[in-house]
Amino acid sequence: MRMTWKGQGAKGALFLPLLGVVLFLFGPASLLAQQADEAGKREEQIVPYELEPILVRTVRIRQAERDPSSFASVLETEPYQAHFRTVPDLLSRQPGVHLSQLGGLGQFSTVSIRGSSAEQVLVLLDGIPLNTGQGGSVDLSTIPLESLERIEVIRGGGSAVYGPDAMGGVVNLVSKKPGETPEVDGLFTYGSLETVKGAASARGRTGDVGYFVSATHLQSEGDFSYDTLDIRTESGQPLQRPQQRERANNDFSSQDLLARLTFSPWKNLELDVSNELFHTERGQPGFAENPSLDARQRYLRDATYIKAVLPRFLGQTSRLSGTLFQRFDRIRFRDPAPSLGNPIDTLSRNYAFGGNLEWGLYGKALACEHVAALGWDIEREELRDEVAAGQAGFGSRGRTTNSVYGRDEIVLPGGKVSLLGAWRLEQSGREGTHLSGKAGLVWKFFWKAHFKANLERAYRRPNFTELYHPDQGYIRGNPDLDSERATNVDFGVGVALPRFFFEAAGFHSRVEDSILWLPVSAFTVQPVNTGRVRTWGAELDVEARPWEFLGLTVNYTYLHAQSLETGLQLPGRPRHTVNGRISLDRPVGSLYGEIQYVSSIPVVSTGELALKWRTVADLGAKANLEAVPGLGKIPWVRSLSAGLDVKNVGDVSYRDAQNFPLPGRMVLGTIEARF
Amino acid sequence: MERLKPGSKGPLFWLGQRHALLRAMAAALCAVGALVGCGGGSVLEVSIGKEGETVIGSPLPSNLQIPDLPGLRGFAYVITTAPPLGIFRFDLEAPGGAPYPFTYYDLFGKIPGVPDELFLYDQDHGMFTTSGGFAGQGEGIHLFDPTPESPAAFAIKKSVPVFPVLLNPPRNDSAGNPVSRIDPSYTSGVAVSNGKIYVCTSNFTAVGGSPVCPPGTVLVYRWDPSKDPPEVVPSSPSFIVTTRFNPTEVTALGDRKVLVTNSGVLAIREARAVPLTEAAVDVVDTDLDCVVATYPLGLSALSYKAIAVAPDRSRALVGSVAFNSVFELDLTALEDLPAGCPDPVPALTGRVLAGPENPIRTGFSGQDGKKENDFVVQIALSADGTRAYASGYNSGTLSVLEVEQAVRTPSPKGPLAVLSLTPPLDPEQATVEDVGPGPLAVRPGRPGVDYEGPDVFVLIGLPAGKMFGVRTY
Repeated sequence: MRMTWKGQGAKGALFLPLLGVVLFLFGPASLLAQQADEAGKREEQIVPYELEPILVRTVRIRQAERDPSSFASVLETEPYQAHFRTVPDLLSRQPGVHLSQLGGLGQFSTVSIRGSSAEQVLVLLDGIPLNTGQGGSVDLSTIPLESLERIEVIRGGGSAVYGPDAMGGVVNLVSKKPGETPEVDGLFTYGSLETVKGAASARGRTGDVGYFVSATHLQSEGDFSYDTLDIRTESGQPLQRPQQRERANNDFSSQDLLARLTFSPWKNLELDVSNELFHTERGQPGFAENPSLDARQRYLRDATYIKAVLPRFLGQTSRLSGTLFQRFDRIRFRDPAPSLGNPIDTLSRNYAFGGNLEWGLYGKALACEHVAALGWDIEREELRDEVAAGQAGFGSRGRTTNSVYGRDEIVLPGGKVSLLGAWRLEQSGREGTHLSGKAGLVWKFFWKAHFKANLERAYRRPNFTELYHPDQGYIRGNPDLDSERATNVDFGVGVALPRFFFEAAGFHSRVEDSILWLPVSAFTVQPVNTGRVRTWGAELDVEARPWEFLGLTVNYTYLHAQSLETGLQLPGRPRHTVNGRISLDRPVGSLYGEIQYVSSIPVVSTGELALKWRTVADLGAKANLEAVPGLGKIPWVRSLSAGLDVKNVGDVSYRDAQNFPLPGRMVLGTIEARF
Repeated sequence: MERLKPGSKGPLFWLGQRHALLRAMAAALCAVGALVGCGGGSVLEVSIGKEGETVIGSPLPSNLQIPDLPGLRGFAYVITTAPPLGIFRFDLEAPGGAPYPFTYYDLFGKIPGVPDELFLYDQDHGMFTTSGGFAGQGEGIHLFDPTPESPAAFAIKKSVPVFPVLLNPPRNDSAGNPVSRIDPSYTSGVAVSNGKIYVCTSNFTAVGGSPVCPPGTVLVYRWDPSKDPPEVVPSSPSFIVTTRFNPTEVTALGDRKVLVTNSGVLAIREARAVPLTEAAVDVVDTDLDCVVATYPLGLSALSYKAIAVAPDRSRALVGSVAFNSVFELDLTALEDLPAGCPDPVPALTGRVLAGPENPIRTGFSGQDGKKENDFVVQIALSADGTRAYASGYNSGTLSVLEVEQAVRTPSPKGPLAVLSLTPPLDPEQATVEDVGPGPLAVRPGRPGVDYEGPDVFVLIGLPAGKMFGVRTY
C-alpha cells in the first residue's frame, strides 16, 4: 500500500516524530544507496601464491579475547555515534553491573560487578590499569566514549588473567585503531543544563604509519533542581517531606586528547604507541543536605604506552609482545569551608609505570590444540601529596608489583570443549606473595548452544587511601589491613545465533577479609578487615533481531550480596535490575527506547533504610541526513547524522546514594559528520 | 490521504492486523510507559524494626528527653541530626511496647545548622540548639511547642541567633594567643533558670588532631514565655566566660544556679579523645550571672550531656568522653559560698567525691578495676536517686552505678552491673551491626507502680539510629 501525504512527494523521506513509529515502519521504499556493481571486466591473471600459515584468532561477540570462558559483554561504540552517550551510561545497562553516580554528568561514577565494591573492579585502557594506588576505584566519567572502539565487561573476577585487584570483574576499554582509509569525524552536542560537547577525530595511514587522533571537550553548567528525600516509614507514615532545592557547584569542564600510532619499522615487528591526556575541572557539591558550595577539584591524567609485537617469534605459531607504560594522575582538591573539620587543600600525584613481556604460542599436543601464554608484569606505583601547612598528608608512598603468569586454552579434539587454565604469582611490597588461579570450561554441547563454567581465586590489595590516609581525627587509614581474598564460581548456558542471543548464568562469590570503612570509636572511621561477604545470583541476557530493522535487548540480574555477619543485603546493591532496549533501524535513521528498573537499594548494613525502587527510561532518535535528497551530495561528506536523546524521559527523581541527588530529564541534540 | 468510507477500516487497522506482534509491542510499550515517571528512587524507606527496638532511621540522634512534666511523662522526645531531620515523640504508654508509635515533627528546611541539645520546659514550651550550617549561620536556639495539635501544626515559634562577644581585656585561647572578639560557634548545651536561657558555645577555631579553642562562653538571654511568640533578648550581662575551655553543657540546678560543664580542649588522635587542657564544672549564679565556684577535674574530658543531679541536690555525676570514668561532686558545698562574684573563682577541689584519681569506673573493664578508653555519653539517675546509669559509646555498654556515697573514697569503684547493648567499637574488631549507645533517659515515676515496661531508654547511634528500652527493676 502506498501512502501519500497531501502536498508531499511519494518518495519524500520523512523524519517522523516518535508517535509516528508504526507509520515510520511502512514508510517509503528503501532509500539505501545503490551499490554500484562494477560490471567491469577484470582481466587479471590469477597467479598461485602460497601463503604462510596464519593463525587466525577471532574474538566472537560476547567473548573476552584473553578470557574466553568468562561471562562477558562486548559493546561496540559505533552504534552510539550521533547519540549523546557516556561510558557510565553504557556500562549501567549491562547484566551484572550496577552504576553508582554521585552527581550525574561529569561527576564521580563507579561500577560494581556482581555485587563487588568499585575498588574490586579493574579498569584497563588499552591494557593500562587506570585504578590508582591511591584510590583504587576508577571514575568512569573521565573516559570519553568518542575515543573508544569497544568496551568489554568481564564478570566474575580476573586476577589470574588480568592482574591484581580484579576481584569482582574487569572493564576493558579499547581505543580506536588507526584505519586504512582516511577518515575525519566531528560532532557537536548541545542540551540541557547548558551541556556542550565537541569532538573531532581523524584516522588513516601515511605510508607505513597508521594514526588515530581524537580530541573531545565536554562541559556542563551542571546545576539542577531536585527533590530532597521523601522519607517515610515502610508502612507509609510520612517523615520528611520532599522540598525542591537547587544543586549548585555541580559544573564541570573536561578535555581529552588521544593519539595512537601503529607502524612496522621492520618486517615481523609491529609497534603501537599511544598517549591519552585527560583533564577536568569541576565543582564538588558534596552531601545534598550539607552542600559544599566552594569545593573544587582539578584532575589531570596522562597515560602512555609503547607496545612492540613480534607476531612470528621463534616460528609461525609463536608471538612475543612487550609493553612499556606510564600513567600520571594529578588531583587537586580544595574546600575552604567543609561541613566538618578544617579547610582542605590537597594535591596528590599518582605515578605508575611498568612493563609487560608475554610470549604467546599455539601448538598441538596430545591431539589437543593449545593457545598458551607465559608472561611477566612489573609495575611501580607511587603517591606523593602536598597539603597546606598544619595539615597531615599521605607523604610519599609506593609499591612495586612483580608477577609472572601463564595461561593455556586447551581445545579438545573435536573442537567442542575448551578448557582454560590461568595462574598468576605476584609479589607486591607489604602484601607479600599471592597466587591466584582460574579454571574455565567452554562446551559447545549442541549446535549453537554452549555451556561455560569458571572457578577462580582472586584477591585485592588495600589501596594507599585505605592504608595510609592521614589521621585527621575523624578519619584515618589502617596500615595493618590484609588483602581481600575471593573465591568466585560461575556457570551458565547460552545460544548464539545470527539474530538471537541468549545467555543465563549463575554466580557465587565468597570474599574474606572484606575491607569496609567503619566507625572504630565515637570519633573515628577507618577501614577494617571485616567478616565474610557472600554474593550470589543470576544473570539473564537476551538479544534478538527478529527483523533487520528491529532490535530487542533484555537483561535481568538477581543479586544477593550479604554480610555473613548480619545476613543482610550489603548497602548499595539492589536485589533486582532489569534493562530493556528496543531499537528500530532504517536507512534514514533510527529510534530507540531504553528502560531500567532497579529495585530498592539498602542504605545501611543493618537494613533499616533503603532507597525505594525506580524505573528510568531514555528515548532517542537519529536521522541519517545524507539520505535526505539534496543533502546526500555534499562533497567530502561520507555521512551526516543528527540525533536527539531524551534521558530520564519521565523526569524521575532518583539517587544511587542517599546524599547525592541526580539530575532529572535531559534533552540533548547532536550533529555528527564524517568526511 | 485516503478517506475512510463508512464501515471501512482504515490503514492503521490493517497495519495492526498484519502486525500483531507490533500491536503487542505497542501495548507493552504503553504499559511500560505507565511505569516511566514511576518509582521513588528519592524515597527513603525506614523500616519499623524488630520487636523490642524502635527504629529512628537517622544516625547519631543527639538527644533524648522523657520530661518529668505534667502531660509529658509518657513520651520520649528524640531530636535527630540528619534526615529525617526532626523531633520524634514516642508514645511509651502505647500497648505492645517497642517499636513505639510516634508523632514526627519535621525540621527539615525550617532551621539552619545541626540540632544538638533539646530542652523541654513545659507542655507548651520547648527549645533546642543548633550549630554549624552553611557559612556558620546555624548557631542559635529555637523555641517550639512540644505538643502541637498535629504534625502539620508544628512550627518553630522563634529562632534566636548567637551574638558576638567582645572581651575587654582580651583573654588567651588554648594556644596562648590573645582573643578580643569571639563569634560564638559549636553551640551546644541549653538550660533555663531564673527566667533566663543559658546557652554555651565552645568556639573552636580548629578541630581534629591539633585543636584550638578561644575562651568558652555562656550566652544569657532574658526569656518571657508568656508572650506569643516568646520574647528572647540578650540579658545584661549578656555572656559569661567560663573558667576552662570548651563548655559543652548547661544543667539547671535549681536554687538560681546552673552548672556548666567545661570539657576541656580535646584532640582526636588514634581514634581516641586526648584531653589537652583541664576540665571543670563551673557553678553560675543566675542572679549575678557570674561563675561563683568551680569543681576542677584535671585532664578528664568531661561528657557533653546533662550532668545528673540527685533529687535532693546533694550530689551530681558527670562522665568522661575519654575514659571509662564517672565523677561525683558534692553539691552541698554550694550552700556555703560567699556572696558576690569572686575573683579568683574558688576551686572546690576537696568537694570532689570521685575525681580523676578515684573515679567510678564503667563498663566491663571497670568491673575489673581497669582504666580504659571509652566515651561515657550520658548519665541518668533512677527516680529515687540511689542508682545511676551510664552509657558507654565505645564499649557498647550500659553501666549501673551506685550513687549513695557519704564520703570520698580513696580508690576507684567499679559499677554494680554492666549490660552489653551493642558490640564494642574497637579498631581491632569493627562490626557492621548496631553500635554506639549514647544519650539516655530514665522514665519518670516508680517503675512497676506508675508504669510497666522499660525504665531506662538509650539511643543507639549507628548505623540507622534506634532506641532501646531496658528494664532494670
